[in-house]
Amino acid sequence: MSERLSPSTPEPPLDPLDQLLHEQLAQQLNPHVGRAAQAFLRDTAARDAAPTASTRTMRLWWAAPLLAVAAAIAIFAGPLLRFTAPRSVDAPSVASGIAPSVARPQLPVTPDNPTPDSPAADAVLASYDPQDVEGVVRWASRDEGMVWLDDETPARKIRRQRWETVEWTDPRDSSRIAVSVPREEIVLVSFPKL
Amino acid sequence: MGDVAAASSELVRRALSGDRHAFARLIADHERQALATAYGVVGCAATAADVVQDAMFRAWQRLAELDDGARFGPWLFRIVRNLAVDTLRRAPRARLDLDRLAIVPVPADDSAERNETRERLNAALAELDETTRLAVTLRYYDNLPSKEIGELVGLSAAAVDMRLSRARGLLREKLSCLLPSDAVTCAGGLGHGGAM
Repeated sequence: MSERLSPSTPEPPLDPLDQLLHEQLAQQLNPHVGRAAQAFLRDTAARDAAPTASTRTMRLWWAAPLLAVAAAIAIFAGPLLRFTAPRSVDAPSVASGIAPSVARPQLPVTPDNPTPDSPAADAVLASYDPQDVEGVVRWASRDEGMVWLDDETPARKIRRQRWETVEWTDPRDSSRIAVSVPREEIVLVSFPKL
Repeated sequence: MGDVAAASSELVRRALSGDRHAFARLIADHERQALATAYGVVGCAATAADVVQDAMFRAWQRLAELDDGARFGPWLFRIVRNLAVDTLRRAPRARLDLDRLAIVPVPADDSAERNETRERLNAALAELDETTRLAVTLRYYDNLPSKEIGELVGLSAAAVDMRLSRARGLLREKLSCLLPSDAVTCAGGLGHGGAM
């Protein structure tokens, strides 16, 4: 019986330190391999709707509707709150809040207090020019482990949370206003079947 | 031009024409290098993964600034490294996010011993200077040869070898209790945690 010879000398055993470094780095970093490409494809697909937008515009693309809603709230709710806040002669001059139990009166429609869907309201909104608009997006992802899809494909369940905040200065009284919108989504990242 | 460089060049050309999948392929080809780079700077796997994700978007947005598609790897390395350094500068916020995120779940079979090994390694790596730590992570995670590591970090291959040799000496000393021959001498607790 002939013995098959190895074409080359066997490699020396890996140094224990080298082995430890290989194993530990792989153990820590391998779970993250594949995330970047998946995230890139998913997020760029979502942004395809506005491919020619500038960087600045893309960063704040979500802010426009939020800003419009927030501006409307600020315009209409501001006078309303001032009107409904009880003011006592003996109370301190600095109001610390709005009494929740006060019945809301019907406001007369005036140029200062137009109804939200009136042409006057549109005019107020059109002339409202927020200053120093800043948008901040904070996000967090949490890997909630393996799940199995209907067709038995293994997948990772990722919970993504975003906090989108717009801040601006109201030109009428120079107050600083911030509106935050939390969002949450669950993304299933499937693994290719071998 | 080598095969890898030629492949990168072709993928960059396709990505520049708007082919997102070509860019995703580029990401996949360079992800280990990017992870090793980010981890070498921030010292935390979860944060490194976030840095890499951000870096890939930044690379996509700035791809037109890349003069030579064959140099995508070194170009991406600079983006990842700069972003990782920025992340460290914003350390308080990054730490806060990290506390909240806990991106990587602790596996069910992750024993206290494994955690300790990881913490000891991170603490030992944190004692190296950044360039040496990068050389270690690129070598031991991405298996890059010294010449390529040198091109990335701006050193000669010989200088990289020297740094790796010194690093191995220090790591051997710090991690001696985790190595088979010295395991019986293991004593004492951890000095401190990693960089983050």
